[in-house]
Amino acid sequence: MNIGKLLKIFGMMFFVIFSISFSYLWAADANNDTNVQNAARNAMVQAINKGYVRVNEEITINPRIAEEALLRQYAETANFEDGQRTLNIKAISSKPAMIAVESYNSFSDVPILKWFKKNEPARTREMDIVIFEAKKTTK
Amino acid sequence: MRVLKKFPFIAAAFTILLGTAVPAKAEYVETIPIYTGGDVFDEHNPTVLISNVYPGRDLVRPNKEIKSWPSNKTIWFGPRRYATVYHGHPDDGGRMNGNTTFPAETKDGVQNITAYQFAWIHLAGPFDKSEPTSARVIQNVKYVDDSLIKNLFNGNPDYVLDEQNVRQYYVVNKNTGQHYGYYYWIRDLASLSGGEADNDPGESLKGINETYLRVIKTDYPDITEFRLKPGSPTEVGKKLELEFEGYEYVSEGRNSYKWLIEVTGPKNGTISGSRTSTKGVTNPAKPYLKRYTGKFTSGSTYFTPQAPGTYTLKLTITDAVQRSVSKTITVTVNNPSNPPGGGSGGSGGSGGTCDAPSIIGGDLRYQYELDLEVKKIEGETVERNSTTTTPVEVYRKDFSVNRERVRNEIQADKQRAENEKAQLEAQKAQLEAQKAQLENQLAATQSAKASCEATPPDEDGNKPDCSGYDSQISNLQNQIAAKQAEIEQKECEIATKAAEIAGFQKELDDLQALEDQWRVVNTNVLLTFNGITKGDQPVSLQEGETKVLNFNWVLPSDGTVKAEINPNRDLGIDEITYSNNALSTPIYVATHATASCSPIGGISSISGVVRTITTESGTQKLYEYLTGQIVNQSRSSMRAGYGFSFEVKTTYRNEDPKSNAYGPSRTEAYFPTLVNYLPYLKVADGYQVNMDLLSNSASSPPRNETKTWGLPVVYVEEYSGNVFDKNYASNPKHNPNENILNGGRKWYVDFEQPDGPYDFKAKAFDAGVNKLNVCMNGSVEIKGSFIGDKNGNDDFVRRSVNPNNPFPGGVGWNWIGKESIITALKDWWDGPPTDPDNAPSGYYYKTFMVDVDLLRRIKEYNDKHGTDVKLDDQFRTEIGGF
Repeated sequence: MNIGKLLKIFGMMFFVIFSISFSYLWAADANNDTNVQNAARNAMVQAINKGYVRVNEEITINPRIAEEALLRQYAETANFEDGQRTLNIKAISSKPAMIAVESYNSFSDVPILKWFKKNEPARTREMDIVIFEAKKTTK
Repeated sequence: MRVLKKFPFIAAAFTILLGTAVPAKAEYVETIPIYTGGDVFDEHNPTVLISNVYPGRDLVRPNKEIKSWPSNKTIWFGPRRYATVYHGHPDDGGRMNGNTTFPAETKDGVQNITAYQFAWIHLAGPFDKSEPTSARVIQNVKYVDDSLIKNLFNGNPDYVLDEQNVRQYYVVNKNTGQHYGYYYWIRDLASLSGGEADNDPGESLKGINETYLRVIKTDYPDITEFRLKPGSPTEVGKKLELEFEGYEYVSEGRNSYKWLIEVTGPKNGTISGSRTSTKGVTNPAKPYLKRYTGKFTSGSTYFTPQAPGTYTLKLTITDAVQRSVSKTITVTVNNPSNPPGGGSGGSGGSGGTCDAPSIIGGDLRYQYELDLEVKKIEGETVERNSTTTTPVEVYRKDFSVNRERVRNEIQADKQRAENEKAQLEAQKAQLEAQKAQLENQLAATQSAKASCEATPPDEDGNKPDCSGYDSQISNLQNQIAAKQAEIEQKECEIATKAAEIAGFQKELDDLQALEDQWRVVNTNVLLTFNGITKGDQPVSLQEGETKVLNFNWVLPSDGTVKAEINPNRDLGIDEITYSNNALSTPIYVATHATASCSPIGGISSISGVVRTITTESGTQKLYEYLTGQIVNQSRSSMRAGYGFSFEVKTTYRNEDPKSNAYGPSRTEAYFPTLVNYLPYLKVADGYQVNMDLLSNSASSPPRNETKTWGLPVVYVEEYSGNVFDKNYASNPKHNPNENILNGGRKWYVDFEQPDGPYDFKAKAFDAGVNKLNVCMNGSVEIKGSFIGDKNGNDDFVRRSVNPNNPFPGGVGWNWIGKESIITALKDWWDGPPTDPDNAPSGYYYKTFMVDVDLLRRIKEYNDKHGTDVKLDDQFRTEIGGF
């Protein structure tokens, strides 16, 4: 077997492993991104203080509700049951209503990492800041 | 002008030359020009008139249809009116009467027309806000003469047309000042003639036409009896008593009349007086005059003849409009059956003693006048079958002036008699002096005769002739006897005069006795409702005194309450009239009426009678008024889920100064929907909410009050948005973990309320005496929701932002000044990933380590409880990680 042939076989194997690993990570990242956005948006809706809206005609949120809703919505929409996830609430504001969230997803079974015998997991990071904003600039 | 002036002469010349009369009919010109405006009154029209027949008002002489003002009712008035003359009232059988012709202005010029079609000039007016259109029917003074007054009105022309009695009215063109002459008002002429003229007998101007002018004429008085009172003496020196009675027919309750008896015979004289007739009777011979008829009777009427012979007694009755009738009788008066004195010793008198009565006359010439009157009665509105108080004001008229006048008359008569008596006594003294002088002359003559007879014979033996003394003595004796007779006659006259004085004094005493007897009248006042007795109270009244009696009784329904003083008419004295003894007034039970609901934003109003007051001048109704209006509505449109506020303003006004009634006692609002968890019940008008009284301007008495009502304060759970009333703490639906917000006096609608009008209603209840109610409609437009409206009708958006440029299109108002909350996240946003396991403390607000197991447990929780988060769920406890 000549070196050229070996290189060709090695290259083909690397390409296959890289492709599999990329697809794996892309899917994980997309899932994480959808999870964070949906969870944050839904949590914000669930957390609206409707009584405050009635009385003051301004949207505020209940932070406690927002936290719980964020977590439950995040879990509800997660369908990639692999890896370790970290869901961070960077900041939350009741009035004006805002939530800033960040999610990390860690993966250890990525083929390319195993191929390189790396022990560190692969990570995806997604972020979102969701607010409720008045359409008018003056009340 | 010169040509015109000469033209008649030229025409005359031609006429003469031609030998033929050329009929030249001049065009008739109305005395007062006819209104040239249209059917709507124009005060600037050149034919608008002014006249003191209707002072200060604009009048016109209309030619056709013209509208009344301000009611704008179409009525028809011609330029002239044709009187229909009735002899007596048509309702009592009065007949059309009169065919004598008189000259008058007609549409064809001045013509002789019959009385019952007599044309009058008609003026319409006034055209201002003071009253509906009325009319004045007048006639130029030149067409009103004695004949017309006598034949058309049956009046006394000397009285009616006396300028002291009848008024002449001018008519002037308002714009040009042209004077159209002087006119009589038909009502004046009819009234002064003892009758009446009614321009509008039906009391409705609607449908009036040119023949709608009714004149009623009445008659001169009728003397049905004039005679010597049965049993009356007819001797000299004795009271000769007379009786008369009859009827007079003057309209408008005028019942005074005068009587005069002219005595002609051996001694002439007159006796007279004035009295009042009693109205309300009917002369059987003239029933058609019954509403005008008054009966008169003579009372005590007499004179004392001083000489025998035949006397002619002419009685003349003159009514209040100076219409007189007479009737004559004759009476023969004899010498007294027991003539005074005796013998006929003297040629100059009857001699003897005088048999004069101790009193002559003495019958009071005055009939005591009494008139009790119900002056005012009030009808107080109350609830059905509740006690109402009816004040009745009664009054006794004061006739003291009349009595004082009579008293003065009697005093004058007495004084005159005393003067005459003194004069007679002076004459008697003079006669006695003359008699004494004669007696002295007689004594002297007798003495002279005695001296003569005692004279001794002369030297011739002849005695002096003393026979001449005898005739002197006899003559003197006769003169003395005559003087004595005259003295005795004077004494008799003096005694008669003293008897007259005694008679006058008796009149005075009787008058005083009557005044003492009737100084206080004790009678009763009867109160009836629809003819059923409801009360009876005694009352004592002096002349000129007014008293108010209050009757408390139970009112069963609408009706008429009537008070009558002296209902039994058993005082022992007749009142001069009973026509004013009773007075009625309408009375009402509370209506509980509700006004029709106002249009949106409009005013609802209603009124009711609280009191009626009837006096002789008419009935006045006092009202209460309630109005309601929705005010201060916070908004006309809003998003679903928001709230709006409004107030109800009620105003209550009561014209009755005696009333202590208040405005509405409660106000309710009604809405088509109800948000959770307001506790209001649904009724026919919607969910019923009792409104709170916010302010009340009422002072004391509360007859003019303005109240403001608002929705009750509601309380809102901050997170859930559930709405409660003030009792939220005890409401099982209230979540104690919720913050409670004061939702204000607002009505909140559901977050899912569809777009469109949201109509609501308010009602105010039980105002015033009549428990009046008003109803108001309101509406607010629902447009969109606070977020996520498909048509863009919302106030907020949810979006993701980049802290490097979070507000590229401008900052929403809720973020103004607070942008740093987002921009502070730039380092985090742009920075490298942070190892979640090694992030510095506090770097994150919160971190959740979500492994596959946690994901599974959360999903299981969600499957069991759903994904909606609740304030008090057990998620944190069961899952952990917070």
